[in-house]
Amino acid sequence: MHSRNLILLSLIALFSFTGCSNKSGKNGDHSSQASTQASEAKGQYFSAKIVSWSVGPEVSGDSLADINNACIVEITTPTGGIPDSLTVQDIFPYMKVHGHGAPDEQITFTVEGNRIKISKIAFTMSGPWELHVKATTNGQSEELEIPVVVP
Amino acid sequence: MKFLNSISWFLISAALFISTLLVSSEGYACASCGSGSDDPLILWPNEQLKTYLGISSSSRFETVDPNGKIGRESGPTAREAITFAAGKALRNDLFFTLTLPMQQNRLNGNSLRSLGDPVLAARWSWLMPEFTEPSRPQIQLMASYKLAHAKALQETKRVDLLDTFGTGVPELKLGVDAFWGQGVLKGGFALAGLFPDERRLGRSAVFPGNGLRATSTLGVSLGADNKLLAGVVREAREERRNDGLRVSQSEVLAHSIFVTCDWMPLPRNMIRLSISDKGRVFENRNMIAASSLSLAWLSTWE
Repeated sequence: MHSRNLILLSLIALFSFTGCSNKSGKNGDHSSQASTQASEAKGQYFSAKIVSWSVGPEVSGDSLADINNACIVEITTPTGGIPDSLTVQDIFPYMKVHGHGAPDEQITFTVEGNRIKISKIAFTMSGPWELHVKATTNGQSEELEIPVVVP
Repeated sequence: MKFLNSISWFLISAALFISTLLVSSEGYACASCGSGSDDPLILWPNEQLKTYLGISSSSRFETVDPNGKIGRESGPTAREAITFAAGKALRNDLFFTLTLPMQQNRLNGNSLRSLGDPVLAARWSWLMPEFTEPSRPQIQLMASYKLAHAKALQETKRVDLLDTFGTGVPELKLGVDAFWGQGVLKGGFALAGLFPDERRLGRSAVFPGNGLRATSTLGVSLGADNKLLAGVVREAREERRNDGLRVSQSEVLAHSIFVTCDWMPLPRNMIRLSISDKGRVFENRNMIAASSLSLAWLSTWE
């Protein structure tokens, strides 16, 4: 009886204090659809970069009037040129490390040349977010994730 | 300030625990299970039908990022819950419980209510306590399944997030719970594997990652039918997956501490007061910190 208790206790203690504390260094299969750097994402057909924030990034408030994050995203071709055409299908924030997004129906954006002016982006908590930009440049569509760290 | 708050919680818990040690001098042979933090309702070997009715309040929500840094979050500032659970024993060593939480989120004077995620659980006693062997623990194998009934954060359209009540993902829990409860000093360990399902929520198929939950409990008798318990819960999950792809730096690590006081004012009726603080002690990553207070009435009918 005592030996069985001892074995059980040892196993539990082992798992309790060492088990699953997995801060792994694996970076292989993460779901980013493009190689990314801070506030910039590079895809097969275009690159997207946040060139300025007029408000934020910050944790949003709890009403539509309190969602004020606004930025300008610049779209370029993979070689750094200005695309001949640009249409934007969708823009929304997502937080991959927590597996959720944020309400995005209030987001508005306008396209001026190769720049997208985006406003009313909700970030519901601090931490690493991605601003998804789904767009078509020169007839080719792609969705990029631009990293955004919300303090 | 937040660090000081956590220290305060810990010191109060420690003071309560130590003062209780000093005033207790008698030993009582009882199974004394049923106070782990893993399940709200656990039946003693001689109980056939038991219910739990509890109210709880959670607040001080803060987000913890992949580096353990505490930050802000929007949404409800408080959540209250009325939890009802019923347990039925099929044999002395086997029982089932069903837990139904009714929750209310509050923010700036507004509130919304919803049924939370129901949990169906079963426990089988592999080893039963015996009066003749005070050192013999009660060891139970436990299994539970949490349904994903309540709306999750991924599904909400409200900017105030008031309608978010659940994780959105069903989860199976399998584990073992050992408790030494026959002496003045009590204690135990529970270890459970957490196995969520993948579920499409909002824009992505979400899989929160398998995990391990370990609960360590230490306590003391406060007379024949009353006791005080304190413990630590450690929950760790592997990387989550979005649309089948692993997300780097998404591992979850969450520690919480709790203190529970059981008081039996009438035979077969117990009052349980619990306080807990999650995410502000030890190391934590990718979780929501919160403080909770709950009061429950447990009644044995058969």
